[in-house]
Amino acid sequence: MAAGARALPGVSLTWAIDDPRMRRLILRLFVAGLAVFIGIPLLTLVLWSFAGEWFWPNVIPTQWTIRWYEQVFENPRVVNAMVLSFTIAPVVTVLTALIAIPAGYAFARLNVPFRRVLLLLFLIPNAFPRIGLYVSLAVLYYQINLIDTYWGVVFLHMIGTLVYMTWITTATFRSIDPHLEEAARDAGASPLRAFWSVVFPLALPGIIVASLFSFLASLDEAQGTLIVGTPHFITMPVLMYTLISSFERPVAAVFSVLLSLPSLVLLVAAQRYLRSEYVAAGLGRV
Amino acid sequence: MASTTFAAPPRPRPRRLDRSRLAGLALVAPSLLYLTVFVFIPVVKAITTSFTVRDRDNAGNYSYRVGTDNYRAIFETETLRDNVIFTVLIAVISVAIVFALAYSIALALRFGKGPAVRFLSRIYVIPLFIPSVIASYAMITFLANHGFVDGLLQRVGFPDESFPRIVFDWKGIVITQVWLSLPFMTVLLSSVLLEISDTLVESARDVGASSWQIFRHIVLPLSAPGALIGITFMFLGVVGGFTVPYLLGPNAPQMLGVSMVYYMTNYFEPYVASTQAVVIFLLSLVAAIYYVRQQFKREVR
Amino acid sequence: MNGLAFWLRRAVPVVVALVVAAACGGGTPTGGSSPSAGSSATAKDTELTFYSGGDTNVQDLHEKQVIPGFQSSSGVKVTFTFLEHGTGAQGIYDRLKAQRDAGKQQWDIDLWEADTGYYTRPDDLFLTISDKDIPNLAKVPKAELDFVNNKAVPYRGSSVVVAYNSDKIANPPQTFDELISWIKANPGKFAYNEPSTGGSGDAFVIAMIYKYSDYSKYNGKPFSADNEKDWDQAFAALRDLAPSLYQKGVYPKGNAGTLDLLNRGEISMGTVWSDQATQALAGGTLPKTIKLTQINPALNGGAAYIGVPKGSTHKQAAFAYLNYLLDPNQQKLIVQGAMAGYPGIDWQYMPADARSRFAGADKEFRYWPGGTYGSDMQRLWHEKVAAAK
Repeated sequence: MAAGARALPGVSLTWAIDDPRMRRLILRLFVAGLAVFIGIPLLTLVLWSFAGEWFWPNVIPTQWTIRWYEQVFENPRVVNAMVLSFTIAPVVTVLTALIAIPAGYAFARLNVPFRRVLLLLFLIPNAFPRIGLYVSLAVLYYQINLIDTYWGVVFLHMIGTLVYMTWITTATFRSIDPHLEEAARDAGASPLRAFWSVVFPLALPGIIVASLFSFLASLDEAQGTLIVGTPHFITMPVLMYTLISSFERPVAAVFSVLLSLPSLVLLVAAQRYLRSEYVAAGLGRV
Repeated sequence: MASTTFAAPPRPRPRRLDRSRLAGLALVAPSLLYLTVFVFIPVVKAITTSFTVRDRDNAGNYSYRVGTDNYRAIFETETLRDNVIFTVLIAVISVAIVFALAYSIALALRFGKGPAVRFLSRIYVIPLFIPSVIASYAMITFLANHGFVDGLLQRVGFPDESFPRIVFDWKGIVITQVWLSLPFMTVLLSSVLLEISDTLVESARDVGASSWQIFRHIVLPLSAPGALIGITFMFLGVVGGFTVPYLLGPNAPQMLGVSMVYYMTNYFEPYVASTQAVVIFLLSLVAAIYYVRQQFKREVR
Repeated sequence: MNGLAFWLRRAVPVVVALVVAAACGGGTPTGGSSPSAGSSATAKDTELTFYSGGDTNVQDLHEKQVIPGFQSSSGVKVTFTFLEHGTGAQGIYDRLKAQRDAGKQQWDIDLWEADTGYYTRPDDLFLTISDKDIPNLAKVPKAELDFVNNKAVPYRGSSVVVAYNSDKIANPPQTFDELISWIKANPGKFAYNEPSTGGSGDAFVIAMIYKYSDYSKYNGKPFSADNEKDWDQAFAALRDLAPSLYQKGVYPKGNAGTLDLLNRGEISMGTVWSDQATQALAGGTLPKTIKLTQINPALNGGAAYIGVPKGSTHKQAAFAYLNYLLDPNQQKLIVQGAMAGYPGIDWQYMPADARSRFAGADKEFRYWPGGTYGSDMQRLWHEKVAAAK
């Protein structure tokens, strides 16, 4: 597309973006600035996690140590929290997928009655402030004995994930040509089979993106878990809140690094799906 | 596969249509049931709570009645009113900055080439994978006065106390919100831009349009509806947020999410807190209704 | 460290709190998890359920030090549940209340460490404790027991102290008035944290309140809204102080916020919890130039209490644990270990070497009634100090 793009002298505002060299320079500066903005705050945390002693005005720690890492790994609470977080997140993701994919399909393909009202209802979890919702929910949990239970935490996490999953799968299903499914039906396949063997494989990238978001949202949830999960269900971010507020900064930094690692592994694994058309399929027409 | 949308087929076959309606309802039912128990009932409870007024006598005994006093308090108490205004302002500023940045990234990803763009496509998603607690914490160590950046600047000769107050200030909230929301908005805008066909852009260029003209007259209008949806969603997120403004915001004014939690846990005023929740809800609802209408317009298109 | 109250104040995201009680409007029909107990209080107790909360050091004290010793000496098995951050304190309270309301004879919690306010609530869910049940209680200062109507046992204390950079300050203030003068003479170098976010900030505000509203109006007296009228002067004084504070009136978030500013050299003086600061100094997160001192009268800290619920299934074991905890040998762990706290028993029963660790342990101490006063203070501080224009 760069071919033929030539700047007219005097068009002061746009000459820069029409000159390929200038454009490249601007792009590189922009990317560099962004990399600094995104990356360096995380790197300071890594520095802190190895800081034996780091007082103002030193730019880097004056003593290095791995004792904070030892402390974290020796602490059974940390290990427990990690195990808990990683047993909750997949369950939340699977359960959400089970109820959200049918709904997404229905919104995309079928004539759901009161569609407009329903779509609005599906937005309420996002429109009502979460804290207010969680506190109200905690009251309900006391009444139905879900407070401080595993399933109580799982159901709470699903509040956030359900909306995303429904929304993304709706868009995904809508991007698939309905004639494909009809052709399968005409060839004698049952509705379920037609869905499973024709629609589902095509929708998989979108579903994977949605599942990824759900998984991450579950790993990230701290507010609600703190309210309904204590004292027995302390997840990683809940523990992180504790560490921040009790001035164990290097420990908190270590924990941040450890908490980010699985997510970053996931990021690398999901790169394929997060780029190009997959994302479009997943998030495009919302 | 990304460039066409197939809307729900409105078939003129009445019997199948009925079946389809029923099937549709059946498929939506599990989600709806879940939402009823875990969202709608608590929301209704919160709304009822907001109309409960608690009076206290001189000896500290409480009495309860139904009334709208809590709502009046929000608009008549200066600190609470300021909080509402502050919340909306922060949300608008954050969304505007994220939008500008994300749009630039999305444009670069869509129309740019080369190693810089490939690198960009790898890094911009990182914040999506960092929990907000950690992001806030990282920003504090990074941007605080006498923090990492301040330290570097002083190393190169800036005088002490010349660094602006970012942490414990509205700037801290905005910067961290921008950091956290950037990937989401970029992903969204990227996919919107993917729908704009290369042919259209190239033919415009063939007739001599400049990059700016192409952006102004083709790219921007075509991406506007999708962009507005991203803006709506981010607005909802910022208005109701807690973690970022709590850890990085000023003591006063507070964002409503923070103020609500203080009223609940510290001031033991759950009724005022619920009222704040409902006010945020109403603010957000305006955005949500807008979102749904936009969605329908797109379907018609 | 004021037990759970301290944590509640410190950790804002902890939300359950009153809302649960308020919205349930009383009898929550939860039965809690059913009592693990088949044994009755009359038989020899072989187990004990203990709920506690607070900082890691509190958990370590019980879990790693006191409980193992108690288990091996008494043969009672202790099931210890720790509430991170003191989260869900209200939830635990509701659980006890629900069991009482349901008429249960055997409740599922035998010992509970929480904010002092819980023990004296009108629901009256806790046993009155005397030295007949717990002989070592005789060593505890009487005022601390009166404070909770003998409904709970104070077993450790910590106080809010003034931390200062000894490189820059040779003679730290000795009284609150001197502290105020120092702040005014050294603008930008002092901070106290937002009261809603941590008790070390409350202590500073409370000291100002007691400057204008006499302590005798609060000591052992029931709540009276009239007293709050005196506060306007205190808040006005705090507002006037703002331009001399860190960044002309920035109040850090949480107790850790003040320590953070000390770490970064942003301030030279601040109010901090003695135990937190002592730990930070030992762990290297505060520079050694930071010293701690106490003014007179002492800044408000407080004792941490443990209560025995009325329906406790294992009362004898609960009493035995409390007695064990108040033994000078165990109390030494609180003073000398990572806890860096004050003993629950009178100093005179403590070994001499334990005393030397603390500055100002002998200063006059004033209680803060908390409760409604506490929540009002935090709200009014926000309206009249932080948000004042």
